[in-house]
Parts: sequence; C-alpha cells; structure tokens
Amino acid sequence: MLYYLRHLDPWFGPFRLFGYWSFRSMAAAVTAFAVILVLGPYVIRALKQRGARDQGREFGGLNVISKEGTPTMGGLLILAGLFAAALLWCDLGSQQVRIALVAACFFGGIGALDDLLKVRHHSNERGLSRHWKYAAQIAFGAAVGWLLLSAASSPYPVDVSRTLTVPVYRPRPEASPPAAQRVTDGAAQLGADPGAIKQRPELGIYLGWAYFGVIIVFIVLSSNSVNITDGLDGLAIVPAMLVAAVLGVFAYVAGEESIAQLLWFNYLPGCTELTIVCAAVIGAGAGFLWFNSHPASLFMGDTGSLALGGTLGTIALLVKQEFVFFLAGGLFVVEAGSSFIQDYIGLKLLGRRIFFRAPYHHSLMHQGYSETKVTIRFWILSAIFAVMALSTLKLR
Amino acid sequence: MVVRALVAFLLPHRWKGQLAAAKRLLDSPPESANGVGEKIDAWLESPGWEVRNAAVKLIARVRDEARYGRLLGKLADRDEAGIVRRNAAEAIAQIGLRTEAARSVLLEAMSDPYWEVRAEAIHALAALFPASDDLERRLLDGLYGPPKSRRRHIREENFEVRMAIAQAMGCLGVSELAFDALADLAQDDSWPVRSQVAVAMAHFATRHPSFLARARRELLAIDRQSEGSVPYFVHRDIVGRAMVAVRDAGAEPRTDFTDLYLNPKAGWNHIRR
Repeated sequence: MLYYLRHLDPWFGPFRLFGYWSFRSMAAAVTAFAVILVLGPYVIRALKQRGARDQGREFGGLNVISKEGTPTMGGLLILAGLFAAALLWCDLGSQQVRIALVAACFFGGIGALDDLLKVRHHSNERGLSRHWKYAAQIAFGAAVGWLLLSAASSPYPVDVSRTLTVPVYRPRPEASPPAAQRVTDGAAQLGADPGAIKQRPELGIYLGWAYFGVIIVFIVLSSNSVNITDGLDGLAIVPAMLVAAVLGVFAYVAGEESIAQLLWFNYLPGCTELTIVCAAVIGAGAGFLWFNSHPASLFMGDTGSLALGGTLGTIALLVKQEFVFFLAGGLFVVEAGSSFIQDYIGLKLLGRRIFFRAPYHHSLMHQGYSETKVTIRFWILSAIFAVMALSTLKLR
Repeated sequence: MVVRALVAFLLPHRWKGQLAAAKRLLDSPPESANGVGEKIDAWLESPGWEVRNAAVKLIARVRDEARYGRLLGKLADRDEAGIVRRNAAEAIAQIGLRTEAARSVLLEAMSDPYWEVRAEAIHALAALFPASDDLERRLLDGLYGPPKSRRRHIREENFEVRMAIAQAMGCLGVSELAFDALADLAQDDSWPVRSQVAVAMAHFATRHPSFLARARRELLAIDRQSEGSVPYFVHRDIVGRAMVAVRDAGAEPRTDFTDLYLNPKAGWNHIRR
C-alpha cells in the first residue's frame, strides 16, 4: 500500500523512497519484526487459553516431555508479520508477489488445520493424514505449474518459464559471445524496453510441459523438508531466514535487467518485488525467534513450517532457482534425507535403523549433545550452505 | 533376505490386517493375549517384519515360555530384520529363563553386525546370568576385540554398545581386568558412556569392597564436562550420586541403585541399572 505513495513524490520529495526496492525491503523486514514483537505476547496468551499446546512425543528413548504444553501454531504470528509487511511495502500489482502470498496463505492454512486436529485430539499422531497433506501440496503445485507454464498467465516468456535453471551450467561455445561483447551487450540493454531484452533459455534445460511435474515435486519437497527440520527450538527458523536472504539476492539479480545480463541470468521482469517478500520473511523470522529461542515460549507448529517451506519453495520457482534453493537449504535436505533414509530404506526395507534416530538432529541429541549445541551448529552449517549458494552467482 | 525385504517393502498391504490385530493385542491387557498361540506362530512367519516384531513383543508380554525356542531362533537368525532380533533379545531377558541355549545365543549375538542387537544381547546377559570369568572374558573381547597383544585398544565404535558393556561389567565383572576396562571406558569421549561407567563402578565396588578406594579415585578423575544439559548437567549429577554411593558403601552395603538414576521425566533415560 505504501508503495503507491511514491506517486506523491512531486509534492514531497522523500516519498520517492517508497519506490526504491532497497528501502522497502529494509522497511518490510523491520515492519514484520515489529508486528510480531507487538502481537507475540497476546498471541501466546490466546493460544494458551484456547489449549493450543504441543502434545509431546516420545522419540525412541529421547524424552521430550519437557516440551509438552508449550503453545503451538506460532506460525500464525509469522504469517501475520509477513502479510502485514508485504501488504504495506510490496507492489501488490506484481503477479509474483500475489502468488507468493497465496502460497503462504495456503500452506499456512494446511498447517493450521493439521495443528488444530492434533490439539483437538490431544495427540501428535492424529493431525491431518499424510495423504491429505500430499494431496493439498500437489494441488497447489499443479496450480502454480499451470500459472507459470501457460503462455496466457505466465509472468515470463514461455521459453524461459519452461526451462529448469542449472547453476554453473555453461552454454555451448557458439551460444556464448566473448566476454567483452557480453559487457557491451549488457550495457546496451540499460534502459531498454523489457520486451527487447535478450533472454537466454540456453542457461538451463528446456523441459517444456514436463517442467510441470518438476514444479509439483519441488513444492512437495520444499514444504515437507522445512516441516521435518522443525524439531528443536529455533532450528528451522534461522535456516529459513538464510534461504530467504539468498533467494532475495537472486530475485534482485534476476529482476534487474542490467545485472541479469551481466551475470548471465535470465531477466525475469517483476522479480525484484520478491526481494521485499523475502525481506519480510527474514524480519518475521527474527521476530519469531525472539519467542522461539531456547527455551521456547512458542512453537511454530505445522502452521509455520509448512507455510515457510511452501512460500520459500514457491519463491524459488518464481525466481527460477530450483537447485539454488536446495543448496541454500542444504540443512533441510540433510534432515529430510535422513528421515527418508531411516524410514524407507532402514525401517521399511531393511527392518533396522540406519541412524540412531531421525531426523538427524534427534540422532545428535540421542548421542548426548544438548539442544542448543545442535541448533547453533546447524545454524552455522546453514550459513555455509547459504554462502555456497551465493557463490553460484558468479559461477555461470 | 533381499528378495524377502523387497517383497515386504513393495506389498505391505497384504499383512496390514495381521499387523493391526497384533498391535491391538499389544495395546490391550496381557491376559487378553492368552490363547492366541496359533496366531503368534503364524505372525512369526509373516513376510512383514513389523508383524514378526509385534509377535515377538507379544511373546514377551505374556511370558510365553512355550515359544521361548522361537525367540532364540529369531535372535540367532542373522537374516531376520534387525529390530526383530533386538526385540527378541529383550524378550529373552523379560521372560527370564536362564538356559544354556539362551546363554549361547546371546553370546553369539554380541558379535552381531547391528548395534542394537549387540547392546540388547549384552543387557540380557547382565540381567539373566550371574557373574563369571567366562562372561567377563567375553565382555572384554566384545570391548577390545580378540586379544592380540598386551596393549589393548577399545574397538567397539558404537556408544550404545559401550554403555551396555559398561553396565554389564558392573554386574558381571569378577576380576581387576573388569575394573581396568571400566577405567578405560571412563576416558570415553561420550558423556553418556562416562555416566554409565560411573554407575557401573559404584556397582562393581559395592560387590567387591576391595575396589572401593580405587573406585573413589577413578570417580574423582572422571571428566565431568558434558554437552548435555536437560536442563541441568545430567552427567555431573550422575557422577556425584555414584560418588555418594561409593562413599556410603563401606558403612552400609546396598544392592538398590535406583536413586542413582534420574527421574525419566527429566529427559534422559538411557542410563540403566
């Protein structure tokens, strides 16, 4: 909303700030943080009064009964901060922003329903069934896939939107002009009509409508991986913030035509607005961490973890950086991977454990590491993954 | 075994009914499982390992001594799923029969490739059989590997198994070699192992009062730093209690070490008596 104040710039000069993505990004982060800080105590009290408390679960000898009773569904706070910041600072006319916010709303709703069922039945085992969750995620993935791949609705040129971007992919030599000419091309594009921008679909693998399946799988994996990681105080929120930061950088690079040309990215018009959404996620995450740091006063529950995973996954699709998401979110890959290996290969196929426990943070706690040590070490790893993801900016 | 596992993985619906029935019996009072012997026999041969696992647990639950031999067979069968073998070892301990066949199978299971089976077999030996030279020697071999030279290095890589060996050494150890092994384990990098060693030393010294003085020295020397705080320092608490037990052992011999162990609700319940 405040974005439109930029039109009042002729009457009051400082209003031009509302047009700058950098100012709006920072303001969105601070806004989201402030909203959560203000609302947090009230939401926690309300959740306690309504009995929305974590039910506790025994993880094979690792007793987490001490967490039982902590208010859950704190993802509602994250969504409140995110939406407040996005509505205030984003250009709501941007199709990408609308898709990202709908993703947050949809996945937050699925998660909230799951949490409500668990609270109602006083059991962590009696939430929304896995099949219904997958069905909802697949349905959303299908909807996003249709929007992105259909020529009528896609915000990008079709040959770009149906391409799977591969970092460090080097185009064929005849498709790659000499370095000096690339710089000249980039400079010549400054201020050019977006329709005249040279797109480079060769910077990836053109899949056509087969990319539809990739989108669905990607959405399911991204939302569930954050959900699996959320198991200790503060464990999922900081890596999610780091992934949002990385995607924000990539969104900016892809959305600015001169930089996109210079760094051999496909120009994605309107993508810069996603930087503000990512900043709002970071601010919301920081605000939530205020209450979620050990010992937590509030858990995000599936409301928050599914919402974060689904939103970040959708943003990664909109920014056309699918592999970068899994690199920046390497921690999510490790956690979800360890769960998959333990459940499907270990227990179901071989009838034995591969790890002491799964997801992997439980295995470390089983070996005697304290919760804070595991969490902070995982944050460090997450930061390293984020740096590695950012390094791919120049590895093209 | 691979074909069986693949079939079980790809076609789980075939024994969903069996599994549901077995789980219902497990959740109901023990007396309701009486008279289901034929079903248990069928479930023990089910292609699904979860059904076989539930059957093993049922045998333990009802203390079915008639099927004791089947349990020994499950534990001895290295092609059987690891979790089923692990629970078979636990069931053997729960039933409580001290037979030569059980001893033989449990000793063989101490060299099982799956760590949970090794640990549970050691716990079962400690629970069932009295201290003896032979058991002590087997435990030492399990910890250090076969003796090849005078210098011995701990070869057991899994911390749960080292904990089990420490606990068993406290119950079954008879000579100074057992206490030396505990002293070696007291230098372990893993604090849960050191905690278990502290309890085992107290237990050993109580059974062999000549070791009381040495136990006091060793307990004082145990590294009390730990990475666990749930929310207090579990390891220091356990070592402190073990020291009190050793200090008081001379004045008032004890056999019950329950108070050395934490309230399970405190968050760490690995350490065993």
